[in-house]
Amino acid sequence: MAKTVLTVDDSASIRQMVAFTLKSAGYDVIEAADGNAGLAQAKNNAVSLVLTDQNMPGMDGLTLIKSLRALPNYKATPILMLTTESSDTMKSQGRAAGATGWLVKPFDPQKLLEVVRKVIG
Amino acid sequence: MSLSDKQDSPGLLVRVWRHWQANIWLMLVLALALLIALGMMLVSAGTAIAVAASCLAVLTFTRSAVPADPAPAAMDGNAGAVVPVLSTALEVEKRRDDQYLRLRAEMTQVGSLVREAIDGLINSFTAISSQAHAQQQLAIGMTQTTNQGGEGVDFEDFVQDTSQTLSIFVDNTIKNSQTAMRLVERMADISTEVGHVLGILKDIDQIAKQTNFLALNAAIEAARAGESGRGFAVVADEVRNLSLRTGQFSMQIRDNIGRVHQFVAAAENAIFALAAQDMNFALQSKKRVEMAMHDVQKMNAHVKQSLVRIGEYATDLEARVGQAVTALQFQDMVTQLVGHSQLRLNELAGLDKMLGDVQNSLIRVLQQATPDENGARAVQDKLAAVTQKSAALATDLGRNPVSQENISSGDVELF
Repeated sequence: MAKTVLTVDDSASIRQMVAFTLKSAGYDVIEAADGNAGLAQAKNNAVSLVLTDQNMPGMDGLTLIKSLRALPNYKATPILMLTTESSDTMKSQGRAAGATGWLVKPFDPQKLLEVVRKVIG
Repeated sequence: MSLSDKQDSPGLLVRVWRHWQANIWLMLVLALALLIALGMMLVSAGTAIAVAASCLAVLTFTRSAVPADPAPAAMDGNAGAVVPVLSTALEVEKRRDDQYLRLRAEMTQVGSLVREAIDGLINSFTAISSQAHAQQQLAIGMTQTTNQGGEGVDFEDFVQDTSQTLSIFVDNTIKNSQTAMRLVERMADISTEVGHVLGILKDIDQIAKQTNFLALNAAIEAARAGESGRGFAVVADEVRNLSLRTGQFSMQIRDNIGRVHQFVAAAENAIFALAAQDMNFALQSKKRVEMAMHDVQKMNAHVKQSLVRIGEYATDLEARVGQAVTALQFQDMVTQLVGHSQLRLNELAGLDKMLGDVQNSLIRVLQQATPDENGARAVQDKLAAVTQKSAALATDLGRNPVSQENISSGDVELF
């Protein structure tokens, strides 16, 4: 059975490109437009990996990661930040919040697939 | 001069106000110049325009000393002359606010235009990539079919099998032809033997004729012997009959052997023609089929090469679509940058409004016929608030959410 990846980003085009890249490699992809919607999707679905943006209206990426880590089902689930933010300060905040990795936009589809395969196979 | 200094002792404006009657117009120009400098430092074109316009109005008024818009509430000649300055400043502010509105609308328009264009491009590239992938799968499938086949048919093996089968067929045909040639030789032997038999039959005929002649002589001699030769005459007659029958048999045999000889000759010709014809046909067929197989092999190699190329093109196309997907993410960055610029714009518009308020309050203070210390204090407080706000802007909006300078793919770091 295909593994499900949740992509959380307020940019529809980024969600579309992430979905296109991962679906072509055989993953199931569900989408959410901000942290709140992402949290709801994560609660309602068995998600193997979460890919989230940082700057979003509503709930931002760091808050989403903290909220997910507070859920028993998501204590060990890989969560990758996919954002335009690349400062060391933000990265260390992400690491502290429980992020598995940090990807700086724009993403290369092949690199994204390599990272996803590395963390969830 | 710091704010605390201003609070501990009478502020600059208050102190200046005490001597305002001495040089009011000079002070007015100085104060507005201060506002212009502040506005320019805050990088607000709208502010600079508004304040500069106000200053220009004041200077114009100073030179002409003729009110363009006499105010009903004018206290005296000078105070009445300040009123058109205020109304001009308010008018400029109104225009500035209109420009801010337009700027916001245009930035929003940029965002929506880029978003719409990128959505279309993403859909196109997604479709192109899917089709390239499908094409690649087709090419891979066809390569496998050509090599091993969906049901285990190997084209190379097929060509080789056919060639081998044909060789066996041709070899057998050649052997058959050689056998036929040997048959032709046997037929010639048979003809020779038949000729011998016919020669022997001639001898038999001769013997029968001589026997007949002897029997005739014996009958003559028996007749001459009279009664005593009667028995011999019967024997001689039987011998003559035998010789006649022998001659008839010999003739029948010659006829039959003659027909056999004709049939053998005909068979000999037929076998010879057959042997020669089969050999040529088989050899030509073998040559033709070998050429056809060679062509088929070449075609097969060409098809395989083309399929490999199609696969390579599809892979290349997929890689290029990947690059396009990376590049198209500029929309996300542009949207974030435009959003951040809009925030900056809003803050600058707010600051601009505060500056306008300071400017108008100052004009009103200057408009008073008698010194207005409270008014001057209020202007000073407002100016302090503007200074504080402008300082806060640097920290509130200093961080750009988009750090990328180009569209090459970003770093990946796993914790």
